[in-house]
Amino acid sequence: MAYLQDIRRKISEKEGLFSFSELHLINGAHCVIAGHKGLYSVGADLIVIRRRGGRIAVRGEGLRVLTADQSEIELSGKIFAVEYLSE
Amino acid sequence: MKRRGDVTFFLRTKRVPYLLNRAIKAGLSVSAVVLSSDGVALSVSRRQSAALRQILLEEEIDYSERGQNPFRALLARPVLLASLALTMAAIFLFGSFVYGVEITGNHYVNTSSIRAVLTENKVDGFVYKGAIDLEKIRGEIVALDGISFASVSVKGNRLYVDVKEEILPLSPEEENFAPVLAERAGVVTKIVAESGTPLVTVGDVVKEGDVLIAPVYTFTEGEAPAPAKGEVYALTVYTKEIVLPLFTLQNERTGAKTSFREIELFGRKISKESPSPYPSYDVTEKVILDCGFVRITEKTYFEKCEVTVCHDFDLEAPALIEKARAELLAEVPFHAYATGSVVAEQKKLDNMLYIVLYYTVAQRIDSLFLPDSGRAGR
Repeated sequence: MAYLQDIRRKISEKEGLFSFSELHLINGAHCVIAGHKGLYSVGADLIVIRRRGGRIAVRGEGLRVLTADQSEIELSGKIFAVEYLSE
Repeated sequence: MKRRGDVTFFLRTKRVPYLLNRAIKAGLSVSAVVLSSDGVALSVSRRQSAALRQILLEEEIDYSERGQNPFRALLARPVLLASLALTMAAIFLFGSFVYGVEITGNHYVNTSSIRAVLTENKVDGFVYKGAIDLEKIRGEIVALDGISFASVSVKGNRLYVDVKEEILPLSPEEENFAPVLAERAGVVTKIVAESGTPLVTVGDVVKEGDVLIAPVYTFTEGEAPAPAKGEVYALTVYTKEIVLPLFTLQNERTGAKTSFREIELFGRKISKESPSPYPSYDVTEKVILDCGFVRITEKTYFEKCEVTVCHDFDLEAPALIEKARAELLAEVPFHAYATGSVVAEQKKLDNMLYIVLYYTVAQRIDSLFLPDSGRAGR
């Protein structure tokens, strides 16, 4: 395990392969965020999701979390903006 | 997105992100998160609901849950509901019919005659249980010849008929007033007379056809007829004679042969008849082609002529004796006890060899004994 973790860390540092977060915005009504680090805040007009090295803020109306698991979070609602915030 | 079978939890908490993160980190898949003024509603699969409950207990969060009503879940699946209803109807329908008959207990009364009674009462194939009059069927089966008791019952979808047959009357033994005769010649070794008067004693020499046990009882006043019964054992000798002449005439092939082919078309011979060109011959037939309507056979004639063969007694005698010995042993009945081995005596005359084989055995020689069909291979 330690060996694998070392490898992951090395690759992450050099290539940044495992540090990315991916965001899909579909018609401004659906948003799928992969590679998240959890939720920061949940509200009807703002949902902030933590990612490695910062946060993603989704602004809109009637926002809600459709599904959330370890790999991705799916949001729905009227999405106005997506912001990448640095720590 | 809420899925069928998910459990919905209503949580009264302000720490929604923390709780969601805790659930996600615990490996749960949370869906349909809806915020309200006093908390949040979320759904997890039924399998993961226990883990979420555990988290809520640890965090001391007040919650209520609502699982899917099983009846509603069933109503939501019309195909399953229809197939269940169909299955129930089929079970009810098939449960009301009899479609199998089992007949037991009969040994000499034909099953077909019992089955005929059932057929007359329309118990054949698929029959509605209510239409079967068990008492009437039972009465008719008992009325059959040879049956003293019958039980007719329906268990599940089968009709069981168990019968008890009448005990067969014993036929009186026929009395036989014929004497017990000797089937073979020999020296009597043992007599067991059950009924009648024995006319021979141990050591007597009897010939074939001699009376061994007479069918009478002898009293001082006279005689009374009685069935002759008993067993008589004797030493008896089986013999076999072989004569081997010095010269014999034998038909042997000269080596000349002639072949003809015969053709049959639809079973009708179309070739000419092919007679043998030799006065003395052997003939063999071999099918060359047989394809239904055409049949070609090859007929081969081998010429034969008479040859005088001179036999060597010393060379041929052992093989002849061995063959005769096997034939002699095959004649001896299976129940006979051997008292020695086969003895071969041979005598050379002018132009022939005369061999006699003797085999002495102890066996039953009375006519009452039914010899077994098997032969001893000794």
